[in-house]
Amino acid sequence: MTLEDLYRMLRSGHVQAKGVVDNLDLPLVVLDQDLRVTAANPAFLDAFGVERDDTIGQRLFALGDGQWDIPELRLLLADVVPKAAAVIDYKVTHDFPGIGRRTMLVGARRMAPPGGHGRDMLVTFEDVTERGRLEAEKDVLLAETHHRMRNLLAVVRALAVQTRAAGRTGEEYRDALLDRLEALARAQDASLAGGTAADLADVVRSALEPIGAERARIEPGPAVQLATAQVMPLGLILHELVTNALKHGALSVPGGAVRVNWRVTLREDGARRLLLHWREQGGPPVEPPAKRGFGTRLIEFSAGADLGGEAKLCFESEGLHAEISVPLT
Amino acid sequence: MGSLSGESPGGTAPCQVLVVEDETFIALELELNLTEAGFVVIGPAPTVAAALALLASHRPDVAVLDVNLRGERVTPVAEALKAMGVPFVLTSAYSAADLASDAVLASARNVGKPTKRTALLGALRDFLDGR
Repeated sequence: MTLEDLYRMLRSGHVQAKGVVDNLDLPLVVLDQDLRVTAANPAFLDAFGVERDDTIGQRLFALGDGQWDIPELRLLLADVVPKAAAVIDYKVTHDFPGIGRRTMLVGARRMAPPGGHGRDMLVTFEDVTERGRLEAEKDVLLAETHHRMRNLLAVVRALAVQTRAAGRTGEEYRDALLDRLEALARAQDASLAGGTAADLADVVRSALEPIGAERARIEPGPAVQLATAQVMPLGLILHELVTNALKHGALSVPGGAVRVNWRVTLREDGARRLLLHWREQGGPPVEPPAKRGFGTRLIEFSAGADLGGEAKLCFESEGLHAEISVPLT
Repeated sequence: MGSLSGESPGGTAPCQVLVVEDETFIALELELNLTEAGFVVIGPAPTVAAALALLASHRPDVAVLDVNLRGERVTPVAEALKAMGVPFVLTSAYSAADLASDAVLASARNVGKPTKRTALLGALRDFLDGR
């Protein structure tokens, strides 16, 4: 930069320009034709953890033990910029000593003072490492949300298909479907409310609430913390047992009741297992169903697939007896 | 693709279809639809391990696979089926781009999710007619 250039710059508001540059968040340096740093703003010094005195007058590629001596950048400044006049957002990923691996968008522009044939270059560095990471995370999240939405729709579809329509009025079908959706939502709420775990007693109480305490005899049992993933399936299994009892089982007649209790067994290898019993009493004479209905299949499959355990349904003379066995963590 | 045995949809022995799906309601719907259509359902298996265990003792004529099983990809099952010469369809909400990294899945037919009954049965029929 000649004296005349400097004079022009000063006259045309250099001080103001300097104030702007100093306050820019964007790291920025000015290089002369030998790629020596003639100016660096505080944002640059901050971002790369360097001192002004160690920076000004140095060749860019010699700065900070050569941390900027990146072949891509060398090519960009030495070759591309002189020909192209400006380069915007050239992406450079590099391991910088002290600040680690960063991805920078480098912008370089020749500064041509009016009338001059300036070889000075303004180089800006925008750290987009974090932005890239956030965008990648957002993409994963979006894909996952999309996937779960599709899955949820498929679940609702499956519920609609599997809720019996034959021999029912439209209203009856709708109520039965809404009932199941309600149970699904309740179980989902219960699984979210607990955060990482939920208390078994709460899940049982919530599922048996529609019956009323008079007929749902929940016996006190040991405290059992369920994993989040276990809450919803167990809630739905209990809902199916309740629905079945109200329609065909003990709860379909006055005086019928259901007794629920549980215990935890400890195996020799330390594995704990929950054993939950559902016993119906005082209902109509029991006969095993001729055909396995949706409720039965749901209870059996879900106990295995969702809970990693098993469900046994015994149609005893006194009433249905279901035993649900679930491994605990 | 498979042996030209006497088993066929219209033949005497019903067709066996392995179902791999972890979502309870969807698994039960698949089971219901396939049973109604005259198939004998093996499974449904909710995990890769459960599916591989079933394959140790069964040789299905065809299989229906969900891709994401509790965060685990169904790939090992697809590879086992391929080695056995058993054709399979995917029922996945994943797009072709999501599956591109997995050769054995990328080349398979995906009838999508939610799965239309007719699309699934059509795909299975194509396989069984083509063998």
